[in-house]
Amino acid sequence: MNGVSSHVRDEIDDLVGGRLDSEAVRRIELHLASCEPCRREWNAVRRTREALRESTKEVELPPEVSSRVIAALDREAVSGSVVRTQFRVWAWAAAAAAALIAGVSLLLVRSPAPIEASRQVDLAEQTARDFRLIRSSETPLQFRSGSPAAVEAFFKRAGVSFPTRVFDLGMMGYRLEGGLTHRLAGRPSALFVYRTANGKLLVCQMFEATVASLPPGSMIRKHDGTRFYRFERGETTTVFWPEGSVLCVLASDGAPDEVLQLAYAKAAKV
Amino acid sequence: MGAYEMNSWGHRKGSARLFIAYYNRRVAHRNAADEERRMNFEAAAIPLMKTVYSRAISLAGTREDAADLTQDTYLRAFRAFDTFTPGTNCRAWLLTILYSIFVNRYHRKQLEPESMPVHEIERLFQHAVYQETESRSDDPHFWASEDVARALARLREGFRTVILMVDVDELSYEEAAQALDVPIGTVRSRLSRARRILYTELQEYARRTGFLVGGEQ
Repeated sequence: MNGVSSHVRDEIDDLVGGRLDSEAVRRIELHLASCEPCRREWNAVRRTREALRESTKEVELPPEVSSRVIAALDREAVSGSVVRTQFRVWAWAAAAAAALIAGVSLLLVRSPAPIEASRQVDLAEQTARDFRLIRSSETPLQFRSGSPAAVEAFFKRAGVSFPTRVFDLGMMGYRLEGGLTHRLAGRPSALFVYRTANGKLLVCQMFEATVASLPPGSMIRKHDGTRFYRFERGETTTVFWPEGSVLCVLASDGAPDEVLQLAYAKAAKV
Repeated sequence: MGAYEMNSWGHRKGSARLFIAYYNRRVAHRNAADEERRMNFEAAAIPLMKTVYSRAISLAGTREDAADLTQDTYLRAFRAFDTFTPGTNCRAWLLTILYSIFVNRYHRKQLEPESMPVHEIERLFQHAVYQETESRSDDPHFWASEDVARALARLREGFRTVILMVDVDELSYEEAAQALDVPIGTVRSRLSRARRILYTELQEYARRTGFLVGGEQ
């Protein structure tokens, strides 16, 4: 039994880990072919390593963990850097005046609570659910047309108070099917639907909100001066971006990068 | 105040304007650099969070501790992102940070693995090796995954950390040594013993469940 120690014992671990040069590998393999004790030991170590690698699989990352990490990074980005503001005397004076006016206004006018503060909704989950409802036809379109202008006019007739921008995605293989008015996080939403020739669905929504209403845990990408917030909810990817006072979102079960590229293509600077 | 005195001299007033313009340019430049740094970090590191969290669970044992460990890893990585070379192995870089935090902050006291004399580990290992027939030993799925996970969890942390680093995460001996703050020779010897203890333990499970000669069934 103890004869192993006088053979290639010290090199078996390196051989199993692939940490030997080809010359050493050849020499040890020759030895293993003719030495049962060393071969048994090599086999035991090799198989243990394989079994360990086989059984150590990645687990699902809970959304709350990624949200927590992103939030910590946000805090770190703010507190870790020096507060860097530009030296503008008039800007400071204007900001102070604005703060004073805002403070007085708050005392005089009781405005409705902003959507972000009043509701704890996961907009990514809601838009992903809307996508699934459209895909399963549980939520039918109220207006069918392949014309962006006609769908925009429908939204206006239906009482959508903000300007909608229904874009033509024909160049990217997506054909407009129509739209419906909808509610998202308690606010009116203009929802319109595209489909490719092979049936791939893309759902877009526009509604009045800010990015502060988005849940944490997004992948943030900046493109052409606009920040895009990508979320994964099950097999659905949602990408949000702001256009003035309106938040736009695309939802699809296509490849996440493809959804992001579609959002880049259609985002308008406001 | 010195600034007002300088304003009474025409050329010094101009100097103050130049300083403000210079300061504003510097601020704008640094803000843009901060933004770019954050974007680069997110692009490189965020997609690996599942890997980091998975390993944190293997190390910490509970999901709560694993979440803490993951967050600490990302914060430290973000602070040290300037030391990361783009295009190199971000996964290995993050995992090295994870292991380093785990070792230093969480379980330094429990990392001394000398629970059993080396010769005793070797004796038990050799005994297990010779109980196994050669034909049986070629089966890669001979041990159940749950048994492997259980045996891994039973390893003392000093062994478990090293075997995860090297065998599962494929960190080099140098990276493992650096994260653990021990000599490379220590990494090698712990790895060797960890593999043998794990094998011995797995064979013991197999014997108890009747899959090896001498078992209960």
